[in-house]
Amino acid sequence: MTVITLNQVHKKFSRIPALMDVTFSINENVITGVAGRNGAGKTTLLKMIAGFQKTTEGEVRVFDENPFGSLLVSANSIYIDDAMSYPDPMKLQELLHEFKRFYANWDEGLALRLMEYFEIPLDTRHRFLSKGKRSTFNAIVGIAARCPLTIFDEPTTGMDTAARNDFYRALLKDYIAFPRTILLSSHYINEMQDVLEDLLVIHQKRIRYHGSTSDLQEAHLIIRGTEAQLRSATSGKVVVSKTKNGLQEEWIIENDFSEAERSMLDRRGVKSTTVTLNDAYLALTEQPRGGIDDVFDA
Amino acid sequence: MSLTHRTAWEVVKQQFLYKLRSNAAVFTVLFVLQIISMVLMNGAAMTSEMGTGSFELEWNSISTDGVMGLTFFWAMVFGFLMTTPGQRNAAYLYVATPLTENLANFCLFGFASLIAGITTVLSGGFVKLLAQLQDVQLITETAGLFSEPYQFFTRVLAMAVYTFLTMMIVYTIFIIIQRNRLLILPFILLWFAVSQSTTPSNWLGDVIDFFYNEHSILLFLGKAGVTAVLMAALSLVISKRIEVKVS
Repeated sequence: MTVITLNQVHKKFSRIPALMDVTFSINENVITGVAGRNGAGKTTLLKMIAGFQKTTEGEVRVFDENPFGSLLVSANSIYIDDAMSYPDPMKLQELLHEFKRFYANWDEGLALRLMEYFEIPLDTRHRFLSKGKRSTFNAIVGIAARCPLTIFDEPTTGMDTAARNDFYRALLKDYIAFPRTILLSSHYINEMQDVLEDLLVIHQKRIRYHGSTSDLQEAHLIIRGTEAQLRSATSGKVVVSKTKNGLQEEWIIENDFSEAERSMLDRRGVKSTTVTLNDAYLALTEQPRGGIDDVFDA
Repeated sequence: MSLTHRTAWEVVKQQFLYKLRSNAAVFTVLFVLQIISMVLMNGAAMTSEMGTGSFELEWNSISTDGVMGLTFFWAMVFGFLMTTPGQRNAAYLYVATPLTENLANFCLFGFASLIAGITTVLSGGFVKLLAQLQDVQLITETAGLFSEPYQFFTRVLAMAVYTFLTMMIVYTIFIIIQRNRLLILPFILLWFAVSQSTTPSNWLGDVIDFFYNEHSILLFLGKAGVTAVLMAALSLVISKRIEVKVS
């Protein structure tokens, strides 16, 4: 069953485009990573799906309804970001109590166990927590709400490495027990790659890629060798990025090699390996590694 | 995972209780303002004198006009407060739509107005008690709860309705401004035109008289009800177009 559908969606703030011609659909019970460079339009996209913002053109459907102003969407989705501002007078336990009242699938026991595990006191206020603890509290809310559509926009901002790892592990365990549709946006592709099934890459306000993470990795190849070796080996191929390491170079290329062509690479002394998800993402967003060096070498 | 189906009224009730808890401090401010007003008012009672030769009469006149004034000021601030993006974003932490959020705000205004109406009218009794403790001859113009219960409750109702209308009007004005910030200019110009005018503005006087000079409680409630419904409808239509969590 399709949970989210966007059809030729455009979004502008005043006259500045935030998203252009976005079309995709997301099926039920899939964890989809939403990736893109700063200002690509991730947050705008997620807020439109959550029903907080409306489209300028095109159509968004969530649970087969326009999410903007939809009670069905609001009751069955939760949006967690790093800028959640809770009412000042309320303590964390009171906030959790409110979540219990509003969300039908709320697991209070899990929320309390996670609060204890992450050592977040219940009798304090959200603004008194450190940045990392605030994000952790938000993440706990997102997991314990068990909404059919759960949206995390940069949920790990400020968390230390251990907390980030624990968050992804907790999310995955709860997802396996209670499958739901999860959208997860983060700049740390490597950290979230283990929980992702699909990846949605937004680049320059448009959808650059939407599909499985494994397909994306298989669509690219890293080749290493001297510049001359690589140049001759990639004749007619699309080179996505180039990085220089001394005499050796490392290129990421689109992987449309046949078996015979791969064998040819080996014979020419060119080493080829599959790319990591992060490399594939960087390749898609045309962020060549080492590019910053060119700024200083100019 | 199956979908949860909620009715708007369920969510309005939950939002109302949530807003009541998260805005509890607003009620504390009301009580503090009213206490300050009562203390100051008692100390600053209007003194009048009249005399002819050997006869001289001096009297102090005490009223709860100050309490009412501060209560209306509080109502205006509360009405504005509920239109701020912070309040809207806080509502959308939980299940909310423009319809449920606005209806919950109206319920909150209704509850707050009732509290304000009761405390304002009771403050009159408190002022009378303070005056009696001062060992002076006392002439009371307004009857109390036990001597004239109908009058007492009518005063509570009238004060609550005026407070509610104040909140609704300010709320609607600031919802319009939230929709388009430039619309603050006509409201500022209107405010200056009214406040700087040396002669009383006829139309403004007419608007106030429309409610204040109504002697039938039913007609007064009818007028106030229609005005409140119009304000509610206007703010609902406008706020349905306002986006949340815009940063």
